Amino acid sequence: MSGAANPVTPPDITITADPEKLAEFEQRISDGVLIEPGDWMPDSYRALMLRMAEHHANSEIVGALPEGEWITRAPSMLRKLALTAKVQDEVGHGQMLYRVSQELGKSRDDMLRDLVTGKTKYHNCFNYPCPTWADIAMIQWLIDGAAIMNQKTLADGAYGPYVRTMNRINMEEAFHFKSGEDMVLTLMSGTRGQKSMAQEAFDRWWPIALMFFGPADKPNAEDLPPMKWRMKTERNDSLRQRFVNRFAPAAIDLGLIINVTTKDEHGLVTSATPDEELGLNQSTGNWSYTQPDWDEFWRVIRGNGPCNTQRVALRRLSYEQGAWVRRAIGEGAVAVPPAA
Amino acid sequence: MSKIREIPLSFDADLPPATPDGRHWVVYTAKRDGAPFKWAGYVDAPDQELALQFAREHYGLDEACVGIICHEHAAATDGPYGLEPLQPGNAEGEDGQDWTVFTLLKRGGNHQTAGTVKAPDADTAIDRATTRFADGKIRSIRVVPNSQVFQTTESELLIWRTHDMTYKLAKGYSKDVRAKWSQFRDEQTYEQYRKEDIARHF
Amino acid sequence: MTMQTMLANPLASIVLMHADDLLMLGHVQSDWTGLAPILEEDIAASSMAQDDLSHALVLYQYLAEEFDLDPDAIAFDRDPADYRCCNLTTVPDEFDWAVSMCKRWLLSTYTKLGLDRLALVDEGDLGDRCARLRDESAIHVAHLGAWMIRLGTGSTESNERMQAALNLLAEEAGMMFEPPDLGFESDEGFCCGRGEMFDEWATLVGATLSEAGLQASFTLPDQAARGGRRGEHAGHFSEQHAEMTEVRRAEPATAW
Ligand SMILES: [Fe+2]
Ligand SMILES: [Fe+2]
Repeated sequence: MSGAANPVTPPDITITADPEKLAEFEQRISDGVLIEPGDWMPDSYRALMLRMAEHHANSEIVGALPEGEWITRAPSMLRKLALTAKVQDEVGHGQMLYRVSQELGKSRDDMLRDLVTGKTKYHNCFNYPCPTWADIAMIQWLIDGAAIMNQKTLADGAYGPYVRTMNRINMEEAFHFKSGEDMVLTLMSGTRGQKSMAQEAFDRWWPIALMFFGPADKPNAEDLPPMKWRMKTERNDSLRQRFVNRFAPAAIDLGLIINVTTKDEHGLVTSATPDEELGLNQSTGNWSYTQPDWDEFWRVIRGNGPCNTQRVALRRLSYEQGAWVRRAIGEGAVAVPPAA
Repeated sequence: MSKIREIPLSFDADLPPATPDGRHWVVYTAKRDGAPFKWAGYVDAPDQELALQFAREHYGLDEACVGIICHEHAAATDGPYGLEPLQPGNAEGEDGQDWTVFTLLKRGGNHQTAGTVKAPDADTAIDRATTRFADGKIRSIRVVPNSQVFQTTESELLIWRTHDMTYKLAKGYSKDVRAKWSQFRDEQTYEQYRKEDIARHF
Repeated sequence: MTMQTMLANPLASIVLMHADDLLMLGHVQSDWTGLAPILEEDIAASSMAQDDLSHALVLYQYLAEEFDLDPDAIAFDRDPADYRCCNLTTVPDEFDWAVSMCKRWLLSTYTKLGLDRLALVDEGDLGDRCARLRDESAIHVAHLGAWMIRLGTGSTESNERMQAALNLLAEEAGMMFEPPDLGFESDEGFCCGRGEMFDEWATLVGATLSEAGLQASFTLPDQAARGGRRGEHAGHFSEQHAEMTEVRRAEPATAW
């Protein structure tokens, strides 16, 4: 699954760089030139890029947890293999993105420590529960689908190492999405029980997918650093609209009902009624839809979501339990002498 | 093990002491015998032996792969990274150690192996490699001393597995997905939806 | 033909014994994906867990073709007592990487030898299948063996942890060599000799252990000692099996 790199508006930035160098840097970006680690860049660019890559890396490895819960219960050999490979891919994405972040000046160990002590965040969507097998299908279809849309725009950004990593990662996201689509199709072609399991999971994940892209950007977003410096290249609202245009008709054709829902503190649905806003506007080609509950979004991002504590705790356990292995190879008693 | 995912966890106040990061390695893979090694990703590892092991089990299994090389990030020297393709120079010579030359075809693209040159130091190696490999297309050159480029050995040639691995590739699902959609959508609608996927999303 | 026909077939029980080992090894290890001590080794261990599951599937597919069954049904729908995996493969690792590592290494070394032997069997394409799996199994043995040495010699702390894990597993390890079927009570019957295979395994394992600065002694159990290979599983196996088949059993007669 993984990441909208940074769904939350970054703090206001004061740019203190040499104006001449800054102008040259911005010119290169608007010419479509890629920025490489050795190039001059404003300190605030480096800081923001690190924040974005680190947040994305954190999201990948925390994103491995909800789906990881179902590997042992996958209902066929194919699904067991595919889910293991999918979760493994997310770990690989995290590993690559931590490397991109290291090059911007922070060690992996520091990033992991900050993650497990709650100093840094990860994508909000992983703070929701995954109570049935159908949630796996919906995550891979909707959330990985949303991630591809987002990451495609990030691959069009300006920072070389991040762009290359996005291109590499997106090849694998296509597998995640296809496998998800296959699972959703299988459930919706299945028994009554499978269909209702799919509908219930869809009710849980549809609003999370809408929130995935983050709240609306400021009206002048194009003039502010993340977009001006091509750290992101499309507005959150516009990505969300593309997502709805793509997934609403597919869901309807499959026989899924797009509901407006309320949820309890465990992230489970307490009421679901068909979205009356839903419909295709023939003149614009856009689907209208009901916005997700943005109050809930802010509550969850501040740490009060259904699974925040559980996710961070499991990552912390993994970090602590594995420390002896890292110490053993770090001491390098058997290490081959380093290359000269 | 999966019980660990369910039980509530609690922790001491302090984390275990920090462990420094491993050395940083850059990994390249070759799809076929004789094909260039192309940039695949990175691993952190204390030594080249483990770096290659890690690379095999990650990048070696992303797509068909017959060989892997890696070098430490710090062992590489990158030449200038211009907006325009490099012009061939006239630096030549046969003295010094061997260097592996990587070229970059487009800015923002991925490095791949092009050959080797001899040179006494990295800057000379870049100059000589420019003479040899700049062909009006290459944007940048990277050199690494041959002695610091490590490769999977003959005895462990098997990297990509021989059993069916399509479960981890998007194309492994295309046929099933198409067949299942046929219950929900007519051929034409599905085809349009699929094309849009390829054009806009994948 | 039926599942019962397959279960009563002596060669099938040898194939099942390896397939079930690999299924359960992959089952338990794949659960670590995302939680291992180092990101790079997390990915590597997960690749090997996927190999183990894939290898099990290759063997189940062979049996499915021979006995006209569904490979998933063989993998998941048998009664726990009809699985032939050994006790070692299902020992819970309690989220201890040392246990996971030692267990996988002991078993992979054994599986490689088993596949060496099955590769010589002239029965349909079974030999060919096993020859291919054997080459991939060798990758695991090399990777895990190198880690045994790294962790055995890495630090005092890691040496102690690995030694403790071996102490926990050593007794169960011998039971890998339990004959899966009453038809194999003699040494010769056990697909090329139980005693000979045990000696070969113990020699290989011993060489790596001494390089790793670790100790363990293994014994070949009596023919009469009964365990997982003959369906007498520890309690944790039933729990693992129930978990593994939970979704499948919820709606048995459908595709997932
Ligand atoms: Fe993904
Ligand atoms: Fe991802």
